[in-house]
Amino acid sequence: MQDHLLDIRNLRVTFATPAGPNEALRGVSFAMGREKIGIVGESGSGKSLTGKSILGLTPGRASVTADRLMFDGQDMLTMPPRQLRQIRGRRIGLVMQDPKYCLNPVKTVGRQIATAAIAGRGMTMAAARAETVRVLRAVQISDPERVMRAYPHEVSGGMAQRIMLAMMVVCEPDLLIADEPTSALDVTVQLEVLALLDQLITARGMGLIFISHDLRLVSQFCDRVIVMYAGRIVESLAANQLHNAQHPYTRGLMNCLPAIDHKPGQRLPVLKREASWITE
Amino acid sequence: MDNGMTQAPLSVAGLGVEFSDFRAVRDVSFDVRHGESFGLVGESGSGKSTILRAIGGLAPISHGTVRFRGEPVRATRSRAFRRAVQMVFQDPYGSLHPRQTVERQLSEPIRILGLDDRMDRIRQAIEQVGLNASFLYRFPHQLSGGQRQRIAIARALLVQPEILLLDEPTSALDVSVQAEVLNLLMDLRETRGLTYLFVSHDLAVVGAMCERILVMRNGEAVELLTGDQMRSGRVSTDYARQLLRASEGYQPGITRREAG
Repeated sequence: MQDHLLDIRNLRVTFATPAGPNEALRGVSFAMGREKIGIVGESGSGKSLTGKSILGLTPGRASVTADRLMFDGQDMLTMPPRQLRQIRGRRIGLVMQDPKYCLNPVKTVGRQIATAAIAGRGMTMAAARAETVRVLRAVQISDPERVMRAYPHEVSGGMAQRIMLAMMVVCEPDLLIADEPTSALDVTVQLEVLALLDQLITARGMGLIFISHDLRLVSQFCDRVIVMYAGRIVESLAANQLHNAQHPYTRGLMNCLPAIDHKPGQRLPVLKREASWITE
Repeated sequence: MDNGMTQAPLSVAGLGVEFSDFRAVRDVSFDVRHGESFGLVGESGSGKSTILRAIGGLAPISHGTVRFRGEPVRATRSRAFRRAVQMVFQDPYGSLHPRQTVERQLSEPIRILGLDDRMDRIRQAIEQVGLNASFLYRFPHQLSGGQRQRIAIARALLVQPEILLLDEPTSALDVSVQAEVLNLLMDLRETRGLTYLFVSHDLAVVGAMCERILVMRNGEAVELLTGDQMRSGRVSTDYARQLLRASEGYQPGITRREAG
């Protein structure tokens, strides 16, 4: 039981609405070690909410229950908020989709990363600055001194996402939750950021939860893929076994992507949703 | 209409677009043939959307000319142009008025162009995009992303245009919904004989939709490809090759495993 970095059983998140309770997550269970797991699904499938519930970042009106939500042997559900804050950022990092919205627009990049280092690792200002330079180099920013003085609007999208990664990495977390970390980036930049993420994860032996709508990308990047539909896990399989996927939803998601050699004018296969997927 | 079949309905020659000191588009030329789907691909900042906006009159034409049916367009587009050329934007969450019902939004182009048979046209347009009249009295927040983009397409179709300027029409949608909207666009083009100018960052999507593709980078045209050339990877510039490789997805650098 202690072997797992993260162990989730029967995670449920319910929002109270005037029309009655809306079950956004309906019994999500998985366990992971220091590996790369991908969570795939369409918008509204609950993939982002799963990531947020792990960190206790669900909105106040949501009710979160689980039979178990353990991180490294600690129960995250019953943990007092003070202790939870020790874990957030320090032991579990979060990288979101749009780096420009996540960075503080009125503080320099260097100051934001240094603040994370001071808060997360109790460093002095001088040590934090030195560490900032080091992590910016680690995310392949060639002139860290200049970037540190820049404000978020002065850097490109790819650069901003590297800065977000640097900010997470500076705290040396054990688990990184990356929510669509490359969706806002150009294709060529996307690959650079992914290669970087891969390298950081491998070098530090972190666990990764990679949340994405892009099944193809996830299967190329991760060890294991969890497919979600309407708040439940419909299928979980090794990334290299994706072509053997059983669930029609997984197969549908794979097929509806046009391939590069798709003939023009040829209609794309469309996903036919079945009511039984919600309950089965 | 006399020369509409022989002449390119839309042609761009030496187009340059400048915003104060910044040259967003430099010396781009291409013709869009009658009935074809012409693709513009590139990364952000490549100028692909700016070209579309310049054609539609939403960005200034600083150099060169845009010809519509052989005639250079004027700063204020003619009525004929506005009726024949319609635009569909990327973000269906932003391009619909949040406080107007679908019916009201669809009435707008009819009112502006002073057309008759308002309700008939609206019903026809909404059915063409695979929705029904029950959607007419909903607000945008009561629709899914795919339904909103269908409404945006219906709005463009209302005035019976010949050319659709499509600016990343599916990039804000889920892949499964993207397939539905792309299929809809293919159907509409066949049944209504439309001409598309299709902007996207996704080579696979452009490949599925377009016969000819112009690759853009930093405001300049890099390479003009036929769909066949792109699909078989017969490209001559490094940048086009790089884009093609990127569209295949992530391959771990050192321990590269071949699929299957």
